[in-house]
Amino acid sequence: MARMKFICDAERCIECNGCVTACKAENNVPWGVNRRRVVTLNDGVQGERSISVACMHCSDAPCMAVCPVDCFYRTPEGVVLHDKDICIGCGYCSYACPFGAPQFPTNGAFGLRGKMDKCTFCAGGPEVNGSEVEFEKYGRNRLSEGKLPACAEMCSTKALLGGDGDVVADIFRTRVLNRGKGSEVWGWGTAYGRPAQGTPGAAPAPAKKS
Amino acid sequence: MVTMVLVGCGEKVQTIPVGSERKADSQPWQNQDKRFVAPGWTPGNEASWNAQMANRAQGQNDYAPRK
Repeated sequence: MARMKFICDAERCIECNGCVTACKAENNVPWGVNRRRVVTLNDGVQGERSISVACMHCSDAPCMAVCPVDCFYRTPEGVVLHDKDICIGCGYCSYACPFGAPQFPTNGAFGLRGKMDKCTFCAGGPEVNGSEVEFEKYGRNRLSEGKLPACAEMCSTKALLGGDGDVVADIFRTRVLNRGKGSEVWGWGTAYGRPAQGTPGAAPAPAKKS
Repeated sequence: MVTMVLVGCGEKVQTIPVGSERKADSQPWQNQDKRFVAPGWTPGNEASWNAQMANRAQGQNDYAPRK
C-alpha cells in the first residue's frame, strides 16, 4: 500500500464546493473550521482555475515537527493524524502549516482555541475504529469501512481524487495523456516560467553592467 | 530528588505521566462496528482491505473499462 494522497484536477474543478459540504456533513466539523476549502484563482475572469485544498498529509509534516506535546503521528498508510486528548491548542501547527490545514473552532469565548481540528483523510483518530468516541472527536472513519474520503467520493466532476497514491497518480496520468499532454504539464519549469515545448519563450532580462 | 526540588520551588513536574502519552491507533482494516462497512471485503483482513481500496479508487476513473 502506497501513501494515501489527494490530487485535485484543476482542469475539472468547477468550484461547486461539494467536497467542502460533504466533509462538513460527514465529519460533523465544528463551527469555524473548514477542513477542506476550494481556492479559486482569477475568480470571475475567463480561464479561472479552482482547486480543492485540505491537509496534504505531508511525508515530512511541519505540524508534526513543531508540536510541543507530540500529539501528531503518521499511520503506515501515510495519513497524518493527531490525538486531541494530548493537544493543548497552542496553534503552532497552524502557524507551521503552509496549507492552513490545522484549524481551531471559533465558538470559544475570549479567543479560546480549543483542540485543533483538521482533515483526517476520513481515517478517524487514535480511538477504536468506528466507535462513537472516535466520531465525536475526529469524524467518520471511512477508511475502516473500506471507503475513500467523502470529499473525493462526492466530487461531482471527479476532479478530486483520493486514495492510494499509485492508483490516483495513474488515474491522473491517464487523464493527462487523454488531453494530449505529456510530461511538460508537470515540473518546476512549467510552474515557474520555462515555456512548454513548441511555444516561444520570453526573452531573458539583459544582465546589468556592474 | 529532582521532583522534591521542583515541588519545593513551586514548579510542576514536566515529565509525561503514564497514561497521558499519545494513544496507539488501530489498523484501518480493523472495525468493530459492521453497520456501515462497504460490501465486498472482509473486515480484519489486511489484503482484503488493500484490494478494496484499490478497487474503490477505480470508481474515480472515467477511463476504467466498464463491466
